[in-house]
This record gives sequence, C-alpha cells and structure tokens, in this order.
Amino acid sequence: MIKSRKWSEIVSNIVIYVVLTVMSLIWLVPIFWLVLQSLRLETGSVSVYFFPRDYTFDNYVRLFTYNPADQVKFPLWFLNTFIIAAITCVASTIIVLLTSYAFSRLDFKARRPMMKIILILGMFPGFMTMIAIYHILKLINLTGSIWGLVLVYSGGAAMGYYISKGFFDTIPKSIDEAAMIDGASKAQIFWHITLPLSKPIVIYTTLTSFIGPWGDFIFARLMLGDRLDSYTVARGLYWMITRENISTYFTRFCAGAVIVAIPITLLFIFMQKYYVSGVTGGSVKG
Amino acid sequence: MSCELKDAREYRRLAHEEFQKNKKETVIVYLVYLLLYGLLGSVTVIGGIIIGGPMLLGLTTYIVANRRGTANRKMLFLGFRHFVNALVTYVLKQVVVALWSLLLIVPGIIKHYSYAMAFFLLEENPAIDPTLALKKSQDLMKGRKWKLFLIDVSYIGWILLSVLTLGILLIWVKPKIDIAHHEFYRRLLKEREEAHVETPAFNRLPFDVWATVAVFGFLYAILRYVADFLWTIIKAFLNIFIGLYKGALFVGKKLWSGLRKYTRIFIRGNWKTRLSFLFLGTGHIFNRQIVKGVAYLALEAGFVLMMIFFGWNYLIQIGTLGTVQSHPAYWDPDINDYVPAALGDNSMLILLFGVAVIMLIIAFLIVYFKNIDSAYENQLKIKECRDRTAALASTRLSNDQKAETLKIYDRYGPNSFKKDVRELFDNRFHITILTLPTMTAFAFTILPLIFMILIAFTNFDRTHQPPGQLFTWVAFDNFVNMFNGTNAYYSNLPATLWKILQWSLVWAVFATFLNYIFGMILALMINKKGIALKKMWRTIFVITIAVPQFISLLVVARILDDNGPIVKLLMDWGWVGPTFGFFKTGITARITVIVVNLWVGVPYTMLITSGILMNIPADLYESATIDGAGAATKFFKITLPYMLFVTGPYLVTAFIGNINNFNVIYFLTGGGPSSLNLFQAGETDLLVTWLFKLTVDQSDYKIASTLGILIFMISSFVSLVMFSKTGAMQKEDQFQ
Repeated sequence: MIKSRKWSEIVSNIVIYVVLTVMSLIWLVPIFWLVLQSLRLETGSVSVYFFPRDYTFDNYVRLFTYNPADQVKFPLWFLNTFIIAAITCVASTIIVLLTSYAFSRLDFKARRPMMKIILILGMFPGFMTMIAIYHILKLINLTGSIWGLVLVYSGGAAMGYYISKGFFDTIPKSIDEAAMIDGASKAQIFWHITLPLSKPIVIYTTLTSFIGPWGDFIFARLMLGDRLDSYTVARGLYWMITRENISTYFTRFCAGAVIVAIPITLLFIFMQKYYVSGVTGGSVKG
Repeated sequence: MSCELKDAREYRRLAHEEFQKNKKETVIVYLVYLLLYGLLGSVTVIGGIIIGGPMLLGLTTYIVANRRGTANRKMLFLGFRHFVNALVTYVLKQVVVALWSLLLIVPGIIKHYSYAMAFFLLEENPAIDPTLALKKSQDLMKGRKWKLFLIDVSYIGWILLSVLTLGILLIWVKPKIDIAHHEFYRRLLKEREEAHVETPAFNRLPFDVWATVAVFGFLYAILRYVADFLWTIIKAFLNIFIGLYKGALFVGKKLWSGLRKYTRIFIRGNWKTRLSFLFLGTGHIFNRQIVKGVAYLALEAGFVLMMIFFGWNYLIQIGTLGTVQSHPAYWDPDINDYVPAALGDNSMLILLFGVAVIMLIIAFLIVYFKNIDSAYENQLKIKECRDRTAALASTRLSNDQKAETLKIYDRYGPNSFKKDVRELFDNRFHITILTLPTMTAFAFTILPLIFMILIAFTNFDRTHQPPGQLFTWVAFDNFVNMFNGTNAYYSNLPATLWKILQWSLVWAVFATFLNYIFGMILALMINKKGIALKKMWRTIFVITIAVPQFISLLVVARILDDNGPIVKLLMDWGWVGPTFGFFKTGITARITVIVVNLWVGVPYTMLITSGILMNIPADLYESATIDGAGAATKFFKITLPYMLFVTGPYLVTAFIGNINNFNVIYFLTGGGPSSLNLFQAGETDLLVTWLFKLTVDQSDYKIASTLGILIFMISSFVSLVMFSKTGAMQKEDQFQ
C-alpha cells in the first residue's frame, strides 16, 4: 500500500517535471528568438529559419554609435524615456502616496464622494480622453515634447490609489492614535510613522510608475507625432518596425528591445515580492 | 466474440482512412467544437446544455458530409438552423441517460447506446419529432448495442491518452470514433434493406413519463436561472434609478437649505459679513486675518478678470458652438475686391474652454460660499470673545486684564495666520495633500472626459473639423445612428457594434477564465511538495511578464507572421497549406489571439495565485485525503471554490480589464483581418481598439465618443452585476 503510493507520487512528479519543462520551453522560445535575431548578421525583416546563419554584435554597436544621417537616435530615445520615467516616478509616487493616505486615514466630508467619483471615472476607457488632453497640452505648447508626457503620466496618478490605500488600511489605527495622544500632527504621523512602515508599497509604487513610461505607446504616439527627436523608446521601437522601416531596421529593433527589456526585467525580478503583495493586497480580500 | 473484435478493428481501420482524407479540416472543426462546447460547458452548465444539441447536430452533419466528400467547416454551425429539435433531442437523451444511470450506471450506458443513432436520424430528417428520433434509434440498435460498445472500447487506449493530455488529443481521436459510428449507422440501414425489414411506422408518440419529467425539470431550471439573472439586472437598474432620485432629492434639499442659510446669515450678519457677500475676504481683513482675506480678494479679482477677458466670450457661445465660419480668400463682386482669408470660431476650443469656464465658475462658487461661512464664523467668534471679556470686566478688576483679554482672543477668536498654517498640517491635512492631485485630475482626467462625453452629442467628425469647419449640437442623433442604421453612411454601424460587442465579451470570458485556471494549475504544479527548483521555475515564467508587454507582443506577432518561422515550420511538416496564415481568417486570428493571451497572462495569474494557494488551510486537504478524495476531487471541491471565494473581486476587475484590453489585440493583429461587413473595424477588434481606430485613424470623434459612453455603461453594468454576485458570496461569511 505505502509502496504503491510512493510509486504514484514519483510518477506524478515526473509528469509534472515534463509538463513544466515543455511549458518553460514554450514560454522562453520567443524571448530566445528575440535575442537570436538581435545577433543576426543578415539584414531584412523576419527570416523563415529560427537560427540565424551568421552572428554579429553590429546591431548593438550601430544602435549606440551616432550617425547624423541615421533617423534612429536610440541613445537619445533612451535618455528621453529615462528622464520621463525618473520625473514621473517621483511625481506620481508622491501624489499616489499622499492621496491614498488621505483616503485611508484622514476623515473629511468629501472622502467617500471622491472615492466614488474615481471609481466611476475608471469605468471610462482611458484613451477616450486623449484628443482633449492633446488640445489642452497644445494650448500650453507642450505637445511634441517630453514634458507633455510627464504631465500626462503623473497627472492622473491619483486615480491609482487603490493598491496603496489597501496597504495603508492594514496598518493598525492604534499606532496613529498613540502618536496623536503624544501630540503628533497628521503630517508628522504620515512622515514618521506610516511611511517607514510602508516600505513595500513605496517600492512597489515607485517601480511601477518608473516602468510605466517604458511600455506606454498610445499616448506617446499621439503626443509626439513625427518628432523623432523627442520619441520614447516604445514609440521609437514601434517606428522601427512599421511597414516602411521593418526591412531596414528589424535586427536593430530586436537589439533595442533586448536593451530595454534587460533592466526592466531585472527590476521586476527584484521587486517580485512587493509586486505580488501590492496586487493582491489591493484587489483581493483575503 | 473474437469475430466481433476483429470487426471492431476493421471499423477502426476504415475510420482512420476516412479521417486521413480530410484531416486538416476535420481537426479544425473538432477543435472549435471541443473548445466551444467544453469551455462554455465548464463555465455555465446551462450554456453547455443549450448549445450542446445544435453543436452535436452540426458535427453529425459535418461527419456525414465528410463521407460524401462535400464537407465544409461551416457545417458545424448548421445545427443551429434546427435549434429547437436538436436541443430537445439532446436534452431528452441526456436526461433519460442520466436518470437510468442512477440505477448503478449500467442501465444508463445501455440507454446511451440505444439512443446512439438519434442524431444521425435527426441529420437525415431534421424536422423529425425528437421523441421519434429516439424511438427509431432504439429500434435500430436493438440487439446491436454490444457491438457498438465494443467498437468504442477498442479506442480505450487513445481515450486514456487524451485524458493525460488534458483532452487535447481528443481533437484527433473523437473524429475517428464519430466516423466509425457513422459507418456503423450506414451498415445498420443496409442490413435493414437487405433483410427487407420494414421500418415499423411509428406514430407521433406521446412523451413517455421520464421525458415529461425531464423536460419540465429542465424548463424549471432554465426559468429559475433566467429569472435569477433578470432579477439581478432589474435590481441593478432599480438601484441606479433610486440613486438618481436620491441624488436629485439631495441636491434639491441642499439648494433650499443653502438659500435659507445664506439669507439668514445676510440678515444676521454685521457690515463686515454683509460686505463679504460682494467683496470676498472683507470678513477676514477687518477681523485681523489679513493674509487669508487678501488671498480671498485676490481670488475674486482673478476670477472677475478671467471672466471678462476670457471666460465670458466662450460661455455665451457654448449654446451654438460658434457661428462664424472660417473662409479662404475670395473675390467679392459686390465690393469689387478680394476678401482676405479669415479664421472663424473654433467650435472645439469653445466647447473645451466653455466646459473649463463652467468648472471654474463652480469652483469659484464653492470658494464664495466658504468665504461667507468663515466670515460669519469670525463674526460669531468675535462676539464670543466680546462676551467673555465683558464678563471678565464685570467680575474681576485685575491688573493683567489686558493679558487675559489677549488670551481669550487667542483661544476663542479668529485663527491667526500661524494657527491656520498649523491646522493645514494637522486637522486639515487632507486639504494640503489633496489640492494638487485634485487639480491635476481635473485638468487631465475630468475636464477631458466631460469634453469627450459632450462630443457624443455633437456632429464633430472629419467633415466638421475645426478650425476649418464648425460643428454643433445634434442631441441624440449619434445614439440613433448607433442603433438603427437608417443613415446611409452608418448603415452597418449597428451590426458592427453588435458583432464587436459579442466578440469583446467572448474574448473577455476566455481571456479571464482560461488564464485564471491555467495560471492556477501552473502554480499548483510548481508549489507541489517534492518539486525541486521552485524558484527557478517561477523565475522562468516571471521573465515573460517582466519584459515590457509591447515588446513581447510585437515579437510574438513577428514569429507568427505569414512569413515567419512558425508558419514555415508548419508548412514544411505539411500540416498547413501554402496559403495559411494565423491572422488571415477571422476564426484563426481569434483563436491565435486567445492562445497568445494565455502566454501573456498565465504567468501573471500564477504569480498572484501562488501566495493565496499556500494559504489554503492544510487540514482541509488532510481530511479530504482521509475521506479518500483524489487529486481532481480535491481541486474541484477545495482549491477552486476557495480560490474563487478569495479572488472574486480580482476576477471582476480582471474581466473588466479584459473587455478593455488594448495591448494584446492592437500589437498582435491590429484588429485585423479587416472585414468589409464591419464599419471601420476588423474581425478581432474589441470595443476599445475600435474606439481607438475611429478616433485616431478616422477622426470620427462623435461616433467614438458615443462608443466610449456605451463602453462605460457596459463596464459599469458588468461590474455592478458581478459585484452583487460576489458580494452575496462573501456575505455567507465563512468559507465552507
């Protein structure tokens, strides 16, 4: 009896290992393919064979060497995106944390109505407002520049308060009350008590808002138009594989994609545990 | 008996040959059948029952036609033409089999085989009475059930293998079994003919007892289900209307009480308070709150200047959205001279700024009344101080009376500037920290949103595009065009809306629940006791979500490209023809999108569910093991209910998110393949990607905005209904 159970255990483990290996392969193949293509010597768009015939690092080198005749200004795009991401990250982290603190801890009349309004606003498809935002930015002469994007990305940040509010809600209120009896003001409580206790959510908010601009394509496309100088990497990479450009730039697109993916993947793996606690803490009642 | 087994082998050989003749087509048909039937059946039992009959009839039609060589994959859906008959036959058969199965299963299997030919009979004569089809099948199968059973049993190895591959292998196995059944049916008919056995003429028989019970039970179940669903919807709508009514009542009461309050303040107020009705801040400046008062006054001055130089102009035009048309330079014969080109009104700016000005006016009104409130409060406070000092003067005559007075004013009087600032970091901290977020939200979310909502009531499109042309209000015209299609240009708009809505919902169901289930299975496998290298497995899958989505999706789109490596590989293996492309026809594109979305989404759900899975109380599993439950039982009886219980709200948000999932569709197919039957949309377009195309590519803003409002209504409706369901679930306060 015991022996047979052992056997079935072994068999089921073997099956699981096989399934996991197959799935890992399926999941990794596209990424592996991307890396291979970025090392391909032969130019031109997608090739029908999986492994390139000759390998080269040239695609990476050309991405970073400056050539005035070249339309691809990858280092500039990278810098643009980095500036946008850095500023957005600081601004929206501050906005999100303050807003969610207010909704979680402060007692004021407009609290519930405001939360309800944000819930309702969230039901509208996000880019329905794009055209209007474009004209508002045009009015203050910010279309086609990276500052417009910074404003757009951090302007609506307060709407994403749920997750950190969910986290703040889990910090016991009695700590606040004790501090209040000691004469601390609300600002002091936030700064000296709540923030130090919320390291995971601060990291989560910072990282997600830093990563956001690297992947956003929709707003970048509308706001930046055809001004290649102020493109972000997402917009630029997409430009490289449009119908007119794909045969020239495909391998370099792959190299660029790898370069963008590496730091973000590392960041993500590093913040994995904060990410899980952030996502599940906000939306899941456990 | 050995002779009969040999017979079975012959059937198998024949079925195999027939299957090979038209393999590709058949596999696709069975894939669609199993996906649709299996998935819908596992999501809602009722759904599976409703489509089960028609789909089975379609499948039978396909198999029969396949034998003749006239098969066409669209036949799979032919069964829906005889919806009622197919449904009733199917339900009757299932129910009778189920009821007989209650008697130790064997009678149920016998019934199953005696009704096995019903759908072939139905295929031959779709108008046949369902009970007649069953009776005829019973008659045909008399004495031959065992033979058919043996044929099925001879497939047992394949069936077991299919189970091991989670049913994927069934796509290849089930067609063969069905072909064998068809062959069996043909031989039965032939035997009859050769033996000159007259088919007994069955009369239209009355329902037998079991069938009657079954049909009524079935009807009752459906009615209850539908009634439940309708009731939820009605409740949701009722809540909306009650909410609107309460809101209106609230606003009315507020207005009335406000009017009374401010009249009273005006009557009771002293000159400072009264003056602050006209000049903001006077109630503060003359009560030693210089900074606050000046700030109020400056706000008023700024507002008045804004209205004079900017706001008024836009405000008065908002009713017409501009009247002066732009024109190029032209020759005017009356004055015998060129009239230079001139820019007229810009309807878009009028609308945008008009809305902004209205918002500013509302904001100013709020400040205005706050100002009066606090002016009156100051007046009361000063009166309180006066009373106290007067009391002081009458009772005591001490030397430090002046100091006492100061103390009283400090405590009960209007706040000093310093105290105001201190309050902003304590009891009024919310004002300090929410001012900036609120302002940016107004500028970049609320104002644009109101603007776009209003666009749905105008005729703003590519033929009315500012600054060249004007646009104006058209009330509900766009909504009418959306739903009735009498307008020639928008004639297929209603059909498109309906099709895209259907696909969006189908997509959302698949994308949400498939990802959820497969992600959970993956998490279970990785977390199983005895599996080594847990961290490595997890990291492998996390990598794919860590890579920015637009990159991974564009890469997958290239790999699946018509000229890409995968299509080449499949062609080399001879699995697909030279014209094959994943994104060439609607159905393959849709399936591809759903499968790729699994690739995108499964690691994500794996990550989220891992933590919760580990929290399931271990004793639940232990007691289940003692009771002798197998792995599958444990999954369906413990894991799944627990997970659904805990992650209910997450599923609802994920569902809404998938209805609005822009990235996957846009980067994989761009909505394609395009279709002439659809209005500016492709076969895989979701409501949101359609909205995007209408705005960015077509500049058809009015229709896009109307669509946006519809999406809003759908999203809020779905979340209302679903939250009320999960809410009810959570009220059963403990998970059992």
